[in-house]
Amino acid sequence: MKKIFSIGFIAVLLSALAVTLLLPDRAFSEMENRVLTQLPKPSLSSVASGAWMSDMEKWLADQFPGRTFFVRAKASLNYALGRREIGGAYIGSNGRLFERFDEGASSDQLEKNLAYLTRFAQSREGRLYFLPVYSAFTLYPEDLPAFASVPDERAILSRVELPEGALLVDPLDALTAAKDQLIYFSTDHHWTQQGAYQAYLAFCGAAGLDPLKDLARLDSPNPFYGSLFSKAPLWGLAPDEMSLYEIPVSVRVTYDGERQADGLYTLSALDKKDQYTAFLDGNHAIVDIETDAGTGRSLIVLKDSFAHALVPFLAGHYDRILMVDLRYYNLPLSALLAEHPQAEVLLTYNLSWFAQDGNLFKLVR
Amino acid sequence: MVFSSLSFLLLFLPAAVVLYFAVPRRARNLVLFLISLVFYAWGEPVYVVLMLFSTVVDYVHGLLMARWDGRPAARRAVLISSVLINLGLLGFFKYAGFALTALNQALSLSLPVPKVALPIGISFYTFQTMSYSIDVYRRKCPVQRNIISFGCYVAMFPQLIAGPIVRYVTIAQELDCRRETWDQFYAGVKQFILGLGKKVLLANSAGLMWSGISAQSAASLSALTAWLGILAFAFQIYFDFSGYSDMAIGLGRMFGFTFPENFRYPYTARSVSDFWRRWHITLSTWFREYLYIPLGGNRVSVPRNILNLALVWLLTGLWHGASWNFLVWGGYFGLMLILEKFVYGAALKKAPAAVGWAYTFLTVLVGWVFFSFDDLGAGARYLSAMLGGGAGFWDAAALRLLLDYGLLLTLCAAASTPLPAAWFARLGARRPRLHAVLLGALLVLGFALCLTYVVDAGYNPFLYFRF
Repeated sequence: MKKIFSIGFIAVLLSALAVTLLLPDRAFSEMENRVLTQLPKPSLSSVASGAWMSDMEKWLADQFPGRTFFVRAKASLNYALGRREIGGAYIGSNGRLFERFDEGASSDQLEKNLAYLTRFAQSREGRLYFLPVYSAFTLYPEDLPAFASVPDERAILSRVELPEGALLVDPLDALTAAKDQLIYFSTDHHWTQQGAYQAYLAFCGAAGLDPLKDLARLDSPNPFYGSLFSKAPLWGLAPDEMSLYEIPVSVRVTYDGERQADGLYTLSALDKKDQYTAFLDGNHAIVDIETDAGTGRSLIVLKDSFAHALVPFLAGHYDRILMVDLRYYNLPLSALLAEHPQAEVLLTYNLSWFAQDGNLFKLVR
Repeated sequence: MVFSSLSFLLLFLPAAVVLYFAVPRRARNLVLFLISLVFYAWGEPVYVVLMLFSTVVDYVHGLLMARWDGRPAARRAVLISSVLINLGLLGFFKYAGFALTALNQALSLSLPVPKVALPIGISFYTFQTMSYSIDVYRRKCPVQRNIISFGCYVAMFPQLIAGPIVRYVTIAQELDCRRETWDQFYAGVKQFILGLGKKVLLANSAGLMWSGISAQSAASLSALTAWLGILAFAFQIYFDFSGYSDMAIGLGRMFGFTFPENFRYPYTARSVSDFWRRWHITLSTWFREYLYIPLGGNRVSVPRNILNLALVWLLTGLWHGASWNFLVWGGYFGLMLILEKFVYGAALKKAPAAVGWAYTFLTVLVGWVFFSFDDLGAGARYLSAMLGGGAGFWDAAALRLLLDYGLLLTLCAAASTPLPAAWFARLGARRPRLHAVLLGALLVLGFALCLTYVVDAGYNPFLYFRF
């Protein structure tokens, strides 16, 4: 018995190694959104420096057979032990995951960002809107785990000071009224386009626009497991349903001044894991949207990724929309603004990220 | 290479076992020596030379003592030379940076501070080789004339990088004649899995809790959070270290060696001196055998005794790392031990067990604050948070922590006592068959669970959605 167990132990280890070696290496992990390590070849220099050894460890970890199963098993076990915060996500009730923000670290940054925002708004003549985006936990606090601590987004907003003439478009009431609908994903940190539509209605009210109504929707053929699911890949979590509104205008979209597309959506993303990137093709430094709306108005949007679901609606009201992401846009913003003196400006940020974002100094550059 | 890595579990361990048992008995020390060098070089390709140097030095010093057997003065000189070389290596690689920085600060000098990376395990193997030289000098063990056997002792991978500190006398006999048996091998696998479980299931989970708390500024911590945090750290370091020792002892057994026990339920201790008889036993033994007793031990005047204790404990602290907080930590325990010995030790003995335990555990927890913060100021701020000087006495965050980690902390607390093992042993006496089935299931499930946690450690979602 003892002999069998002893031999069995070593045999299990050897066969795990054999299976890892024999199975072809996978190139990319959708769950983790990163390239996986391939079997490293030793060389004299890589062995002498120890690089080969650490690559071997990475290779084993990345290519271990049934790796996703183990990762999900651990997350689920931790959940069973009472953990409601796994990998930076809170696991709430009703299958809802929430982004977890580090408290405390951001208070200095918030002060700075508030000042940047005010300075920027004061310097810009012409129409300026600020549309704050709320996180799911502000709309569904009842689904948060007990005693979970999340940023107070209402308090953050209450500290925003805009000059006379700038318009604050607060979508909170509209979102709250629609909270029985699917306005936020459960497994992703973003809102759905249905949620963004509520904010769009609020924006139209403030900007004096006649909103697009009765839009048809295109449903993704695939279940959507979002970014929060990657952090806490529990067994038994239901996927989200992803859908996109069809906007009845024809557009010409240029991403980063290079690639062009004829639509507001990258539909191929619906076959990948991160389906949210279907909206305006995910993160880009600058996206130039030319439309046939024929209104003679143009808009510059300064934003984070929540805007990707919102801006498509605006394509019905502006001839040209320049969408700038300050996390990636490193040219002076003032030059871009000077090129478009007539353009209206929309600042739209998720409030919790607004409090932490280290890129807002670019507003006044 | 650490035992809880996939490289060790899947590559090194099976290869080592197969190679070791494939060769005839007389070649086994050589094989063990060579695979140990590979093990060391896996993490430290260059410093393997340093360890070999240390090996050769002590081997030669042993031979010299044997050669000048009848010349006490020469033997003494050889011993001093060996100790100086060992301490010199340790001093240069571990303490030079710290000492020079301190000197620069104290005297406002600007001596260049060498940037040397600490060779893994140097604190362990220099202490082991010194034990050899000293015991040969004291004629407690014979000289080892076979360099392979001696190299095998110094480099032996199970205890190479994190102990236990195996004194040469302990395994002198097993080095040259030992019998590996299936019983031993099985017992070794069992203890290895137990240690792996302590490390990856308990220590790493408690460590996750602690790193979340210690990363916050102490001013934002409520007292309850701060206490939960240091409790988590206490469990992390205990299960990490004792788990590592269990794995080492288990691996030693697989290859036919009997290493000394290193931890004996330290958190059940009822006095601080009792704690140190249960915590990192091989280190305390080393300091007692090779420093405290040679200084005169207890058989000296009270002032001298106090001085000896203070010296031993300051050095014990410093052994744990070259920075001020470890010196403070060692000094703190020295002080507590002196107080216990000369002031209230007798009263403590008469007090109810619960009082002794509470006093000891509290002392140890406060000690871990010094231990865990390199920066003494940060440690002091954390202590103040424990007293309510941060964000009050309790808050929602602390309650969330209790819900998230309460069960884990309870499991850790139970595993820190001898109760589960005692219960299991009683079951073995009453219902041997059930005991055997349960043990088998525990080992298989436990190992599967460990593997789950080890594999998950490589899961790194790279979510650049925002950045």
